[in-house]
Amino acid sequence: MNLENQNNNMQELDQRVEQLLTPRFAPSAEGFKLQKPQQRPRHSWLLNAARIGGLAAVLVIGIFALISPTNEAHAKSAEEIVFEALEKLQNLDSFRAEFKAKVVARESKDKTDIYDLTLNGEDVTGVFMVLKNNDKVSFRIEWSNGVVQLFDSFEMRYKMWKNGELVCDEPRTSINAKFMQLLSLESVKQEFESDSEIQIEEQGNKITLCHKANDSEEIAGIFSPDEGKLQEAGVRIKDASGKWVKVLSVKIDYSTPISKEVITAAPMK
Amino acid sequence: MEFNNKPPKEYVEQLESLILVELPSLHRYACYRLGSREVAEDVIQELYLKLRTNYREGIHNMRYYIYRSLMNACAQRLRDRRKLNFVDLECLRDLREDDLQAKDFEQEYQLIGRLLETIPQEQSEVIRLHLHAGCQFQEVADIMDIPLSTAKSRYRYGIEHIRDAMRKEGLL
Repeated sequence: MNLENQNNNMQELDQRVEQLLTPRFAPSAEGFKLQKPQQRPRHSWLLNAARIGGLAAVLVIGIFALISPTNEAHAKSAEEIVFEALEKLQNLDSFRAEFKAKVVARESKDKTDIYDLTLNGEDVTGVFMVLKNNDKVSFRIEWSNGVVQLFDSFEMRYKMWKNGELVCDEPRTSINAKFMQLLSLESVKQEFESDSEIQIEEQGNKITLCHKANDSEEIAGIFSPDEGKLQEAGVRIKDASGKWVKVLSVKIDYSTPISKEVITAAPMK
Repeated sequence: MEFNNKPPKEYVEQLESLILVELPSLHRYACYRLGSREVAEDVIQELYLKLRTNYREGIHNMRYYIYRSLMNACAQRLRDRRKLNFVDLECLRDLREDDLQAKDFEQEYQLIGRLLETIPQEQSEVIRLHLHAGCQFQEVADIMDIPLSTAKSRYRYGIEHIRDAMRKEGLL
């Protein structure tokens, strides 16, 4: 009888384990539409960048433009400058950027990707900070409307504040994969190596990098080799009348080192 | 198997209809394997395009082939992520009773991930395919190319091991 009770008990415990392992909160696949090859934009990494990734993509272009060595700019091809700058970017410890974007709040309940870049969006400004330590990367976005987002890979947490109030604080096992993909630059490099649609042009005293996702979307960075400075970097979308509208622009600041305390700090109320 | 870059129409039709039917299961499996809806959808999209363009002759069962391909794609994505130390899986020792009451997908993913980390991958994969993708044991066996009895025993051993580990930590 005892043995039978023990077996029953074990079976109940096994059922409990199975219950714990059985998903109850599975994200719905509703709304997820697979894109067919002929319909899929060629430059998926750019279009994927329509949210925070977009900011990162612009930063990538902006940064390699900024850090390209001035005195070598004329001795090397523009493409060589780009690739060397990409390598250097991976070794940067931190940077800060100011951005301006046209955004609309997402309708979904996604706590992370809260805005979409869009033609008719509300104009917002903000500050974007990145801090790297070995293989960990944390980033923080301070939106002008009072929202602050922190993707903290040191503590493996995602936090969001609204007007100084903490409204989300939860553990994360990974920090925005698309952003990481862009920042690791491997996928971007592959695009550069394999994609003839990325144009790098030297005109007078500037290098222009332009990546057209399609006829109506492009990402670009303009670099002055003489000054070693970024003149402009941004994402543009063509509106219905054919006019190009800038939906995101970024200026990068290397002069302000970012510490862990700064990037993880709670905003002032 | 031979590669052929021009997939026949029948292959594409079969692939598309199967993917459409299986999408919820594939999606659920990938979400709990990768911990992010966004990444899961990215992986499924990439896989779909790969299967569409890289046609292989000699596929006996398209459904199993899709699941096997997804398993491999998820494993590869996790390997890439671990290489960068973005995953910080903690051992069962740190698990508290409160953690067993997941309240959302993120918490549930972490809980399931931690429990499955305590057993060999060959066992956790059987559990994932059965409980997350909703595959029958015969289907799991075919996807993983193992006998039916092995699929069942891996599942049982996996559950028992987790049970024992949880009891040891006073969680059951």
